[in-house]
Amino acid sequence: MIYPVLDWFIPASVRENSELQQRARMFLISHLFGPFLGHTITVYLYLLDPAPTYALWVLAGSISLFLSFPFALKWTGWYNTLAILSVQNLIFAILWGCYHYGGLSSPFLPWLLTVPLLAFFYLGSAARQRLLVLSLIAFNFVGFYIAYAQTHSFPEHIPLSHLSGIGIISTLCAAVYVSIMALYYGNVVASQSELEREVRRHLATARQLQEAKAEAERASRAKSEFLAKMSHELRTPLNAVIGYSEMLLEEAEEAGSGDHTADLKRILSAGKHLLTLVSSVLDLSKLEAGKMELFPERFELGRLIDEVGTACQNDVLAHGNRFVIECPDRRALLETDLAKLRQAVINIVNNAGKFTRGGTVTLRATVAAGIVEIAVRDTGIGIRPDNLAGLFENFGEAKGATSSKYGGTGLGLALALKLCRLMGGGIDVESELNKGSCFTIRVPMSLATTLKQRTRTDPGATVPENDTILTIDSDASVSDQLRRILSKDGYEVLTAVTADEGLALALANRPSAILLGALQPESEGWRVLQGLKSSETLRACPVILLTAQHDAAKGRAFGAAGHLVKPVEREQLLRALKSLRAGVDGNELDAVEGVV
Amino acid sequence: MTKILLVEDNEMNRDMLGRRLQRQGFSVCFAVDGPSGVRMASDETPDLILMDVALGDMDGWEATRLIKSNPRTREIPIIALTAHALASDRDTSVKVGCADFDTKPVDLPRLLGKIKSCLAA
Repeated sequence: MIYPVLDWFIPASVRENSELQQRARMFLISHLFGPFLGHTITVYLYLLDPAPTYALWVLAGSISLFLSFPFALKWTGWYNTLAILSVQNLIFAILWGCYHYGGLSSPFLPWLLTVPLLAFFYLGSAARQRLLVLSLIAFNFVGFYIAYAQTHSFPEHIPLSHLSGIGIISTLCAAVYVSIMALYYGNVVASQSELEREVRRHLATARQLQEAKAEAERASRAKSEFLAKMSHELRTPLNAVIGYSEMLLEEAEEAGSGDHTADLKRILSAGKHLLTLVSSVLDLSKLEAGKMELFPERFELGRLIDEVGTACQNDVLAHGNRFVIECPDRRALLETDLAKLRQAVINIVNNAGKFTRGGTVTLRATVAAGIVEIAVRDTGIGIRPDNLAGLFENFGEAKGATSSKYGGTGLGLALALKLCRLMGGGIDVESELNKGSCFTIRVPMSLATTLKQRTRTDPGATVPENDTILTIDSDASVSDQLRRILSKDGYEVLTAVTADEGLALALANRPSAILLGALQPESEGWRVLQGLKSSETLRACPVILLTAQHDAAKGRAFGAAGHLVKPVEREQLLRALKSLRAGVDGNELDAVEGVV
Repeated sequence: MTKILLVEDNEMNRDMLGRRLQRQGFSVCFAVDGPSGVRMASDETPDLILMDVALGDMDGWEATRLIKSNPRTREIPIIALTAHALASDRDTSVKVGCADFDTKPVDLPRLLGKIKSCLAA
């Protein structure tokens, strides 16, 4: 209520320090109310003596002067100076009043009590401040005594006997004044302890949250371990079911007992389906526990697509669908985890087949700029926009009626996405309800694309001659740190916090290098690199990844010139940038590999 | 007749794979753990050994090492069988001297292909 009025007077420089602000508020309360209390006395004196001498005018002037202090504070901001001047003016007013009205028996004497009280409120009570205030009081008393010593008497403008009434008023005013200040001080203390309690509550909550988080992580780990163990235990008997039904099937076929073969095939197919589910759970829990290893193999894209085609054919054709496979870059050589990529593609294709009846499922695989792109398009039931978001969550397939008609647990998609991410890629989905969906897998062709190969494919690579560096990171403090490091060494630094902002800045300024940190969500970083790659003007611009872990291979596969592990050290960063430039000029890009 | 030694501790898996191999025309002998596998390799001198990796106290790698260190059995090709297709498993099987590596559950046509190429080599 009163704070807005008070704070209007407080300049920004004072407001920065909350303790100083409290004192300034006290200073303002006393200067806004004090003079009115003080003037009751001057008014009374005027009534006693309607033809006052200079003594009253000086006193009135001194008291009125207090009203100018809040404004002086607002315009100058010199809080400490003004506080000292105010204390000086207060002592002067009191001693002047005492000297001219009653001397040592003056009714103004009680006001002297307010001086140290106010002085310490204004200035704080550090040793230096105390000394200053006490010296000020002593200095004024000396002045008072010198004035008295001149005549060894006090001037008598009004007879002392007439001043008894004013004594009561003066003492009352002083008491009211001190009470106001004490009340305010009490409030400050109370609100501070409330603040302290609040802080303590927040700390306690934070601690609880941390404990809850640790507990949740423990539970999640336990869940993953349990699932891994269970899946393993389930697989053993399941393998026996599959193995024995396979054996029986072989025997039945040899013996020509046709009645049994159909049933045995059903057992076998159900067993295999169950095994796929159990394996998916095992794989998911391994992925979630970060225990999935990558095993890169060299193979042609055509081989992958053929294998997927063979594996999925039956399931896709089963619902009266056409299965179209397009693979123009059959001979393109990939060097990634064949088994996991195949698993991901199979899951996506089977998913498409499952939700399409009498339509077409098209599997199209192409390569471009180090990326293999596998698009699976169907003419099935499509996905409602509000279901898209949860699509890749475990068990996140279309719910309810859809699920019961088409079947499925939704594990396949979750697993496919996690596998693609593990290989440094991702999956995009476009869908229209009742028209169909298109899932596009994009992963780097190689888990360890070397820098040399990359530069050979960009023979025209040149870097513009400037010292502009662009940093892209969702966390502004990271960009800030980089800016501080780089600007000291003469680089001009541009910062972006989103993928779009980063791409726009890159296009507009054509920086000599881009430092790409973490973006939310993760796929955004991927998008930036893709955008840079596909831009004629920006393709040559080297990108250094700032990563939390040491995963150089992944970074290179993404098309980055190198990577640095956060937190980035100054030396490291400058060396990397320097060798990038040297490398481009002198064709010694190997140096970069060594450095970053 | 080609003789295969199957070292496998799980009774069901042993029975299943053994019978299927027999039907393919192989003569099959069995060992239920690492030590007996090493002994059988020496006594029976099979043409090929299928070695489960996850055996009890002495695992398949250890048994393979022992078989490979015995001059009498050194030349017998060994195919390791593991439940997980981990790169590290593959590396270990090469390191201890396995001729090949396959994953369980067994895909019979694939395993037969590997057996044939091992025997041909």
